Amino acid sequence: MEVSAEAKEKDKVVEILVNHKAVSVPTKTTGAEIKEKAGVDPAFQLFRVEGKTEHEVGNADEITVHKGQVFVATPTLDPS
Amino acid sequence: MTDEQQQAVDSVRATFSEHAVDVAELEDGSVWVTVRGVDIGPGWNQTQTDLSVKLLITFPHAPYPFYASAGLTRSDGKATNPVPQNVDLGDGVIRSQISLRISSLPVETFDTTTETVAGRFVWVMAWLRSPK
Repeated sequence: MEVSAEAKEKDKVVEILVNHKAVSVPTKTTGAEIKEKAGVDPAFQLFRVEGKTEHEVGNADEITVHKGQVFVATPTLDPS
Repeated sequence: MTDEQQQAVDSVRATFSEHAVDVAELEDGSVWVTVRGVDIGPGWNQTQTDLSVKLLITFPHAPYPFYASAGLTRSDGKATNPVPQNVDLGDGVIRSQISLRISSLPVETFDTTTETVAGRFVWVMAWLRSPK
């Protein structure tokens, strides 16, 4: 049975960095899935670090990730 | 520098690889980590700031508080919480203290198995770009 290019892409797995640790995730994934694969608290906020900026990634956000891409997950900080 | 402090420094350098990251060890065993030239967006009287945190000899005691360049104030009149406060920690350097932490936990709580100092930096940067 021939597998469609779209299905192949969906099944493709790449290694990214989450909190400085290597984590394997599908190239097309979500913020929630990245946190799950990384063993990160689901309540943490996920950020994608790109160049000199950081972008929030919500749990339901569908994103395409690339090998070696850097993510950071952190708990919510409040004023004190 | 302790192994824990070194690992924290490594994580900051790796995460902010396109920034200059300065590290200064003090005689008391604490370590200043500074990410230079952080874009903080409009609304402040500075467009960029240097963002620092002091890792105490007791680290992984939580990295708190963070410090921006001196004199950081809103230029658009928007109220923020916390308000950056100019402080002198006794070294003659004025810094703007930014007091953000996990309010539901004791101030010293920091679990290196689940989070990183770089993560705390990222949160403070995000707050600076979009202060509540």
